[in-house]
Amino acid sequence: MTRNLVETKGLKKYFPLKAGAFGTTKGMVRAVDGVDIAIRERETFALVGESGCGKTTLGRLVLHLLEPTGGQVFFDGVNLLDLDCRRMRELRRDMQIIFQDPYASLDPRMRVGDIVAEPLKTHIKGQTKRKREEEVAKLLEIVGLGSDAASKYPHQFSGGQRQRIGIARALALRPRFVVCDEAVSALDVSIQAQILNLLCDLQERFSLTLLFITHDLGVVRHLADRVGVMFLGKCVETGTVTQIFENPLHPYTRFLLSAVPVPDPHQRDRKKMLLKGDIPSPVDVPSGCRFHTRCPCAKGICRNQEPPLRSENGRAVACHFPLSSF
Amino acid sequence: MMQDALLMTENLKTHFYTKKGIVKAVDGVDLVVKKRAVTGLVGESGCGKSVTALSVMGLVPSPAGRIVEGRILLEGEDLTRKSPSEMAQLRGRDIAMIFQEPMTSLNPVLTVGRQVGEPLRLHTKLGREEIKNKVVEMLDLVGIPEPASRLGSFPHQLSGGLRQRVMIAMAMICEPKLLIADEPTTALDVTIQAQILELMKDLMKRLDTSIILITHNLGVVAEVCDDVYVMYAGKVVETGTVFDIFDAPAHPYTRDLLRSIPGIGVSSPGRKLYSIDGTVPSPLNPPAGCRFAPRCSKALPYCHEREPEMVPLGGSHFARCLRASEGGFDHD
Repeated sequence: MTRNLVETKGLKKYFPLKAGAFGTTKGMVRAVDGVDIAIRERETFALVGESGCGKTTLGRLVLHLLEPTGGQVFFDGVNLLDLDCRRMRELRRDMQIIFQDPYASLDPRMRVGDIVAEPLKTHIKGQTKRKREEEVAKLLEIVGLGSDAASKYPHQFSGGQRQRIGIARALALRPRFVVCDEAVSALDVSIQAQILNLLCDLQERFSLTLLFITHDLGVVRHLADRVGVMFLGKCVETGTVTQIFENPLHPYTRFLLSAVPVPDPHQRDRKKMLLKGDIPSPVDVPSGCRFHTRCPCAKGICRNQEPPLRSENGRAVACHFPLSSF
Repeated sequence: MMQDALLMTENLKTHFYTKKGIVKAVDGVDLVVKKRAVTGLVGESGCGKSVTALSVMGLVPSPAGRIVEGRILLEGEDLTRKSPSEMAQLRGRDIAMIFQEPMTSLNPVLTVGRQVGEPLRLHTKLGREEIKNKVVEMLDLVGIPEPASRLGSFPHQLSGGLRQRVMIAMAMICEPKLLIADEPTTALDVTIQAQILELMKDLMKRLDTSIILITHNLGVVAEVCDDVYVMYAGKVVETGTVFDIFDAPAHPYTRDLLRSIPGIGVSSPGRKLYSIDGTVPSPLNPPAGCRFAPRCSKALPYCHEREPEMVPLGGSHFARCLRASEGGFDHD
C-alpha cells in the first residue's frame, strides 16, 4: 500500500455569517465540519458533492490557503498548521491549484509568459532571465501551446487554451500535489476531453498526486482512483471509484448516482430515485445525521445521533444503516 | 407529419453586424417542432442554439442582430412578419422561455407572486383574486411547498432549485403552446436537475405544451428529448429521433461528441478519453466547404471545398455530411 501524501484529521472551517448594518455575527456557516480524508501518493482523489457541501473550502484548507477553525492537515507527514510563514512558503512549491474559471484566474493585463513565470520568480532565487524564459517555453510546450503564446495576453485565447495556461502555471515549480477545483466544468465537452487527457498525461509524466474537486460524476468515473463524497460539510463516504459507483454504501451516494443523466435513450425509463426537497442550509445543520431530512431510510436514531465515520481498508461510510456491509 | 408540427423554421438566418464583420450566428436552420414533444437543440458554445431560440421569440438583440432570411412558422403563421407589438402579445401567451440562470432572469425587487402573475395581467382580463388563485395553483403544480406563503417572497430568499421552479411557473402560467428552455438545468446540482427535468416532462403532458430544450449536456438529451438537432457553427449538422442520434450517429461531429463524454458506459477502455482536436471555428470567418472539416478525422480533400447538403438517412434522420451517403463509417 502506498503512503498518504495528504491527510486531514477532524478538519473544520466555520465562516461567520454577518448581517445588519453593524455586521453583527448572526451565526456560523459550517462549510467544513470535521472531515477526515487521506490522499495517497500519486493517486487521483476526487471530491464530489453538490454546491455548498464544502468541497471547495476543503480544497483550500488542504493547501492552507485558509486558516482552519479546527483540526489538522498533514502534507507528507508534516502538520501544516505547525509551520511558520517561511517554511509554509517553501512547502508551497510542492502544492499548487488549478481554478475553475479560466477567465477570472488569469490577470488580463499580464502576458502569458509573465503569468507562467511568476511562480518561478517568486520561488527560485538567482535564476537568470534567459533560463526562466527557456523554462516558460518548455512549460507552454508541455501543455500543448505554441511558444508564441508567451508574448500574448489571456484574452487572445479560448477557454480551453486558457485552462492550459493555468495548468502550465501550476506545473512551473514541479509540484507533487495539485488541487484541480472544477478545472473542466466551464468547458465544452470536446474541449473538456482534451484537458482531462492532458491532466492524465501530466500526472503520469510528473508523478503528480491530484485532488480533483468536481460535481460531474462522469468525469470522476473516468479519471479518479478513489472518491470522497461530501454532504453539508461532512465526508459521508469514501472508497475506490469502483466501490463508489458499483456498490454505494451511503443512501446519499446512491441518490447522487441515480440523478446523473445517462447518455443512452434506451435507459430513460429506468427506475429513477429522486430526492425530495432541497439541501439544508449549512447555517442550520440538522441534528443527528445531516441527511436525515431527505433520507428515505431514516429512523429515530438518525434524527438524534450523528453517525461516526467507520472505516476499513480505506473504505469509509458515515451512516447508521449503510445499504450493505463493507 | 406536417399536420402535427407546431413550429417550423425554414432556412432561418440570423446575422449580427459587428465592427469586425458579419457574424453568421444562425446560418440556414430548418427546424420542425412537433406537438407534445421535446425537441432538443444540442451543440457547444457558439454553435447558434441560443440565437435560434431568441429568433423564434423575436428577441434578437437589435440593431446589431437581424433575421436576414427565412421564415418562422408557428401553426402556419409567419412570426418574422409580425410587428414588435404583435410579438409582445404572443410572448408569454403562446411562446414562453426559461433561461439558464434563474437569479439573473428574475427581478430581484419584485415578489414571486407579482412576477408569476405578470403574464396573466398582461394577457388576460382576470381580476386580482383570480390571478392570485391561479398563481398559487401554478406554484403548487411546479412543486413549491406551501405556495400561498411564498407569494410575498423575493427571489433571493429562494434556493436555486426553487427559483428555477418559479421561472417555470411564470413561463407556464398562460399555458403556452411552446416552451423554450435554454439550458434550464445547467446551473443546478444533479439531484435538483433530475427533479426539474421530471417536472418539465410532467407539465408538458398535463398542459399540452411542446418544448424546445437547448442544452450541451448529452445525458439530459438522452433522458428527455424525442427529436434532436445537433448544431455546429450556425448550421444543423444532424437531426433525427433521439434513438437515431444515439444509436446510429451519422455525422462525424455527432459521433465524436458522443465519444467524448467521460464515464458512465460510453467512455473508451483505458484512461484516454476521445477528444476532438482544435476548437470551434470563428463565426466571423467560417471555413470553406464543410464547417467541421478542419477538425474532422474522416475529412477528404473535397470536404474542404464543397458545402454539404442534408443527406436523408431514412425516416426523419438527416446528416449534413458529404460522406454520410457512403452508408456510414466503419465503427472504430
